[in-house]
Amino acid sequence: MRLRRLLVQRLKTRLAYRGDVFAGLLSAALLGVVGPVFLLSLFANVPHLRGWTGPEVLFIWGYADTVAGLFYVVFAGLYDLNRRYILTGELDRLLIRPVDAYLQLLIDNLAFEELPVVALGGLVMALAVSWGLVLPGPWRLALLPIWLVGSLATLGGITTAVACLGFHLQHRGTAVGLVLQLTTFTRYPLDLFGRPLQALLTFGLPFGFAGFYGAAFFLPENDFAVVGALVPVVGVAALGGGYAAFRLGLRRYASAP
Amino acid sequence: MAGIVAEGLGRTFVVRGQGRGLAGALSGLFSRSASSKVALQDVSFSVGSGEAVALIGPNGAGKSTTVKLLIGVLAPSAGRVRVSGRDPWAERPAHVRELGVVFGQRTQLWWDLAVVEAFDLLAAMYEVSAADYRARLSRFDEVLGVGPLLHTPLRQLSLGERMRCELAGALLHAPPLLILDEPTVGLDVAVKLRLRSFLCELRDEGRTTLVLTTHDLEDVRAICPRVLLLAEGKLLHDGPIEALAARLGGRRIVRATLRSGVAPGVLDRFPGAELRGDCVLAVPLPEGHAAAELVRALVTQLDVLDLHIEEPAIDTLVARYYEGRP
Repeated sequence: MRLRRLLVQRLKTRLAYRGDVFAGLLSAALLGVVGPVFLLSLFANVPHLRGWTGPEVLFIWGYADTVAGLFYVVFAGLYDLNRRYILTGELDRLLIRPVDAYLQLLIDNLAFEELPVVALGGLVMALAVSWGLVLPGPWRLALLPIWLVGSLATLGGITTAVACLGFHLQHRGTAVGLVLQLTTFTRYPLDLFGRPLQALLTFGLPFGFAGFYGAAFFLPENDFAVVGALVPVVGVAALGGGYAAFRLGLRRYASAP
Repeated sequence: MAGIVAEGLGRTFVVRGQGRGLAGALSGLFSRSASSKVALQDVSFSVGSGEAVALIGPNGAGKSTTVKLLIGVLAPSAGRVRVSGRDPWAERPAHVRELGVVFGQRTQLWWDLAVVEAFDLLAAMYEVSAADYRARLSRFDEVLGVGPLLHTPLRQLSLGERMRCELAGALLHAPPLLILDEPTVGLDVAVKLRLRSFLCELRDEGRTTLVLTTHDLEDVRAICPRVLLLAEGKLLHDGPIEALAARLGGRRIVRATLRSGVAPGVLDRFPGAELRGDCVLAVPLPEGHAAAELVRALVTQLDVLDLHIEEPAIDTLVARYYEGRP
C-alpha cells in the first residue's frame, strides 16, 4: 500500500516533465536500433561466429538489452548516489522517513522514460525467434521472466556495491558509468573474447549473468547453459551483497553541514 | 512521549585534505591526507518529554551534528544517546516513526509535487488514518494557513510559505519529538512571529518535545525556556537563557532620555552610568536590584522624558565570550 503510493507519486512527478519522456523515448529508440542493425548486417555476410548462429547472437543481444532497460528504469538512482545524495547530505531526507532508504533511493529515481528500451529488447528477442531461433521447451521458456529478474538483480546488485564506494572515498565522480561499460561485452557470446575478460565478467564483476549466461540458458545445446542455470542464485546473492554494501556505507555516511 | 538522554556523546569526522591548485588536485588523485576533526566531544544532557530546548552556539559548534545524532542519521563515535529509550541510529526505522524534522535550509518535502500530494504521501508513509489526517490538515490550515498553498508545487512557493508547509508536513503524524534545525533562517518578521506562536502553542500543549537550533535568540526567548550552549563541540551551558546572560556578565540597562543635559556630579550617583550623546543616559541595573528602584531613582533625581529598558544583548555577549576564549 505504502509502496504503491510512492510509485504512483513518482510516476506523476516524471509525467510532469513531458519533454523528458519524449526525449527519452526518441534517444532510446535511436540507440537501441543500432545494435540489432549491426548484427543483422554482420550475419548477412558471416554464417556464424565460433559456432553461434545469427538468431542466437541476436537473442543474447535482445536479452541483455531487456535487462539493461529494466536496470535503467529501476536503478537509475545509483548514478546520482554519490553526487546528489552522499556529498550533498541529501541522503538525510531519505533516512528520516520510515521506509527503507535504499528502496526510497530507487523509487525516488525510477526512470519510466527508459521503458521503451525494455520493449525494444523484447522486440529483438522476438525478432530472433522469427529469424529461426530454435526455442527451448515451454517449461523452460516460462522461466524467462524469472531469469530476466535474476539478471536485473545481478546488474543492480553489482552496480549498487560500486556506487556505494562513494560512501568511503569522498570523490566527486562515480565509477558507476565506467564499470557499466563492461556490460557492452555481455551482450555477445563471452567465448568470443579472451580468457581474462571472460574470467573478469564471470568471477570478478559477474556482469556475465546479467546478459550472456542468462540468455544461454534458453539457447539450444551450449556449454554455457549450465552456468546460466545459476542466474537466480547469483541475482539474489548480488542484490543481497549490494544492499549489505549500502548498509555498510550508511555507517560511514557523514551527512553534510 | 519522548525524553532524550545523551551521555558522553561524541562524534569525529574524517576530513580528507587536498593540495592547493591544479598540482594539488592531481596529486590528490593518488594520495590524500586524512585527518580527523572532532565535531562533538563528551556532551551529556537530558531532556524531559514535553520540554522545549534550544541548541545555540556559533557556526561549527556542533549543533547540526547533535541534531543529526538525535535524528539517527549519524552514528555517534563515542558515548550514547537514547530517545524514548531507543538508540536513534541502531533503531532508526522505529525511531523516525515518532519523529518530525524541519530543516530551515533544506526541504523535507518533494520539489516537484503539489503540497497536498506530498502530504498524502507522508500520510501514507506514516500510516496516518484518514480521520486524523483530515483533522490535522484542517488545524494546520487554521494556525499555519496552509490551505491556499495545498495545490501549488513546492518549488513555486516562497520561502515563508514553504516553511509553513514543512512544519505542517513534519507534524502530520503527530510525532512526540519535533526537531527543528534553524527553522526561521531567512524568514521575514511576520512569518517568524507566526511560526513562533505556533511552536509556543505546541509547547504549551505539552505533547511534543521540541528541540530547536537557531542563531536567532528571539526564537529562544519566545519558545525555549532552556538553552544548551555549544561551542567547539563542547557543552558550555545548560539552563535558562537568563542564567546564561548573567553568567556571561550581561546586565539589563535602563536608558533614560532627558530634557536637558546632566548636571556634573549627578552621574556619580549611578555607578556605571554613561552618557550617550547629550541627553541619553544609560545606566546598568546593579545585580540583585529591581528595575523599578532604579527607575524611581532616575525619575525623582532627573528630568526624564522617556525610559527604556534594554535586555542584555546575548548575541553580543556570546560572541564576545568565544572570541575571548583561549
